[in-house]
Amino acid sequence: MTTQRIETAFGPIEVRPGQLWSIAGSLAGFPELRHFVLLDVACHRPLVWLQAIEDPSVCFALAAPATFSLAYPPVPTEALFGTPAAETLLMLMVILERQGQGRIVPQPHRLAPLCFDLRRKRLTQWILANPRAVTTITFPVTQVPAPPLEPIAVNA
Amino acid sequence: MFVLSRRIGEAIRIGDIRVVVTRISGKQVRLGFKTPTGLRAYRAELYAAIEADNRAAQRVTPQLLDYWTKHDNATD
Repeated sequence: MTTQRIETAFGPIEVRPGQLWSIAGSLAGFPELRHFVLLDVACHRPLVWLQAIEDPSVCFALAAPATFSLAYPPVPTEALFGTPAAETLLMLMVILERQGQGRIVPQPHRLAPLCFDLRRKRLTQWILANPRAVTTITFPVTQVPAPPLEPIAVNA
Repeated sequence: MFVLSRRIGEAIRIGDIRVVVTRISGKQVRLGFKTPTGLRAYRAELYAAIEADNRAAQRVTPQLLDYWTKHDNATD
């Protein structure tokens, strides 16, 4: 099987075609980014990295919504992707925010989860206009299962 | 900037996108959008906020995350 050598924030890696994700539409602020790979770095779990192919310096830390005790309404896949998607998964970009007394706190990019179409290897950003559509899970989340995204393992 | 005048019910086309003036009430204009499937329209201020947060997310580098993890909620 042919592989492609790509540069990432963690160094060069070999990628199979089936490990590439393409974006439907574009990522706000990053219209030049069209293809990505997901990277699993053991010391950063449960986060995974979304690495841009077109720009090795661009990668995003992603977390499952449950990591932040958040729940989303059903995904309007046809509106997002143009065609229905049978199996999707939401992930949130992580932002490190400086809060009071210089404390750095991880925050989710709450209103714009990334929606992954697992069968077609597509992703898109779902922008929610109504903040109340996102709800907080009230029961305690003690362990967030690893999402079935099959990221590529890399060393930090 | 390209400027067009339109009345209620009239439309403009931007490529495959059709924008219709559906209501004018005082200083507020209500617009309807017919876009190709998969293309979405947003209020500019919402899109700008999302764009800013995307850029903030891009600043979370592996090195920064390592620093934060090692110092575990450290202040600096």
